[in-house]
Amino acid sequence: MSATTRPLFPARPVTRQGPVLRTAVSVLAWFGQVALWYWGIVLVVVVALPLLVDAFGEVGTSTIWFARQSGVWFPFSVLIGVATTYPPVHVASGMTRRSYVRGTLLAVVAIAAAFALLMAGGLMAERAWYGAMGWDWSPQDQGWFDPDVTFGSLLVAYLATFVVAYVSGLLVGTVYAAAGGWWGTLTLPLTAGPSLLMTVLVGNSNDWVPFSELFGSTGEGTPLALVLTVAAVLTLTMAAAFWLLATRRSIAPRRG
Amino acid sequence: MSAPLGVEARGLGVRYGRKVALGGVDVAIPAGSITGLLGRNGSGKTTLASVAAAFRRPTSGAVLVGGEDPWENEDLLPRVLLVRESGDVLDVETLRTNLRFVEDCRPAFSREVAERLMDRFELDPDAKPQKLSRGQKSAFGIVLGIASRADLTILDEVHLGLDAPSRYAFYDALLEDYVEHPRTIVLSSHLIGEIERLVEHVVVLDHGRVLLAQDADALRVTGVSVTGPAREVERFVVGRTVLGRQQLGGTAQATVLAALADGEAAAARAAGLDLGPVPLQDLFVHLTADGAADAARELGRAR
Repeated sequence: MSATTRPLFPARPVTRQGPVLRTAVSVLAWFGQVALWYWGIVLVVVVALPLLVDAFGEVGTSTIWFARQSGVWFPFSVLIGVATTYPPVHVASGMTRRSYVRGTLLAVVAIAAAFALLMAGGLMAERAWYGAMGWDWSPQDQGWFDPDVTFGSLLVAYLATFVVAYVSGLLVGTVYAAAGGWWGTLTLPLTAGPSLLMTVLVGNSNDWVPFSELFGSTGEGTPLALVLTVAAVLTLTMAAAFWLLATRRSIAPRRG
Repeated sequence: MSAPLGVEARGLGVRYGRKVALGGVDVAIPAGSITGLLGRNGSGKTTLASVAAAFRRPTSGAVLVGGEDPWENEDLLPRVLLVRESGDVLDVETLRTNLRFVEDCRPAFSREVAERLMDRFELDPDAKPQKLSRGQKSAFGIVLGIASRADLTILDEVHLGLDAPSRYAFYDALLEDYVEHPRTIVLSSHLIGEIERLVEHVVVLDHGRVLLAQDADALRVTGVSVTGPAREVERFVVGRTVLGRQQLGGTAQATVLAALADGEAAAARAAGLDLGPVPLQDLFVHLTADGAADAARELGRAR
C-alpha cells in the first residue's frame, strides 16, 4: 500500500452472511433510507393537519387512515425500481437468481410487517390523541377501519394488504425488466391488479363480496377469514410467478 | 479451495430472436492464463462472456467453467466475475458502499488492492457512480475487477473512456496482481496493440464463430514482419500469404504468414531485411476482414 492510500472504511471483520440473508439485509437497508423520509412526512402531516383543521373548523376524520393508500403504493413503486435495477448487480456480484428471489421476498414480508405495525399502531395512537383532544375520530369509510376495530384486526388487515402490494411491486418490475415495456403494461391487470383488489376488499364497508357468507360474514366489512384467504392465494400465486420469471431472466449487456 | 477456473464451450449457440449471436462455438480457455478475447463489434464476445458468467443461458450447447455448468451454481458463481464496460454497480450508492457490498459477496476480495487502485485512479469513495465521468466509471469497474480476485475474471471492454496513462496503469495493475495471485483472466478489448503484451492465449471470434484459438506466442511465430528495400521485400513475399503491406519511398514493410527456417531467416537478413514478430493487431485485422477465412485456415487452427 502506498503511503498516500486512504482507508476506504474502518477495518472490520468480514462476516459472510449467506446470499439470501445478505440480499434481504441489503434491500432492507436501501429501503430503510427512503422509508425514513416517508414516515417523517407522514408524521408531520398526521400531526399538523388536525391542528390546522381544528383552528378553522371541526376535526372528525382520521388523517392516518388516508395514509393507507400511500403505504400501499409508495413501497410498491420503490420495489418496482428494486426489481428492475438490482438483479444485474446481484448476478454480477456472484450470487444466484434463486437467492435474489428468496432474499427480496423475505425483505418485502419484513417491510410489510413493519409498515403494518406502524400503520395499525399509528391509527390507534391517533384515536387516543383525538380522544384526549376532545375530537371525534372516524375513518371516512369503515370496513376493517371501523372506529371500534381492535389493534389485532387492524394489523392483520394492513399486513394482508401490504404483503400482496409489495410482492405485486416486485412482479411488476420483473415483468417490465424481463419482457419489456409492452408486456409490462399489458400484464398490469394481472401483476398490479391483485394489489388493487386487496385495498378494495379491506376497505369494503358494505359486504358485497361473493361467497363471504362462507367465511362468516356479518354483512358489514369483508370477513377476516376471507381477507386472509384471498391474500394468501394472491401472494403465493404472485410469488410463484416472480420466482419463475426472475430465476430465468437474462441480464442484458450494460452500456454507458 | 481456490484455483484458476478454465472455460470450455461445447457446441455453444445463442440466439436473440432470429439473430444468431453464437453458432455452435467450440473453444477452450485455459485455466491460469490471460486470454485475449478478440473480435469485431457484434462478433459474439460479450455473449460468450455473459454465458460463462451465467448472465444468460445458452440456446444450445453448453459452457463449463471449471468443469461445471455455471448457471445458478451457488458454489461456483462467487468465483466467477464479469465486468462489462463500467461494471454492474449500485448507481445510487457511493463507491465506498459498493466496495463494501462486493467485499461481502466476493470471498477473495482484497480491500488493500481496492484502496490502492482507488487512489491510483483518483476516485472519490464518497462519489456515486451516476455522477462519474465515462472514464471514471470504467476505472471503478477495473477496481472491482482486480480487487475481487475471482478465479475466473472476465473484463469486457473495461477500458472505454480511459485516457492512455490510466489504461497503462490498468494493464500494470492487472499484471502485477495476476503475478501475485494467478487466476484465469479473459480480456476483451479492441485495443489489441495495447493488450498484446499481456495475453498468453488468443481467441478470435467472427460472426458468432471461433476463427482462431491459439497460444499467443505460437501465433506470433506463424507470421513475420519484413522491413527493408522494396525490391528485396517484394522478392521475399513471392509465394507467401501477405497480410499487410506498406511502402514509403524505397522502403517497404510486409507482414506475411510464414514460419521461417533458420536458413531462410539468415538469407533474408543477408539481403538487408529486418525480421520481426507479426503484430497481433495486423493478424487480427487481416483475419477478420471479409473473405479472410482462407488465411485463418492457413494458420491451421481455424474452426
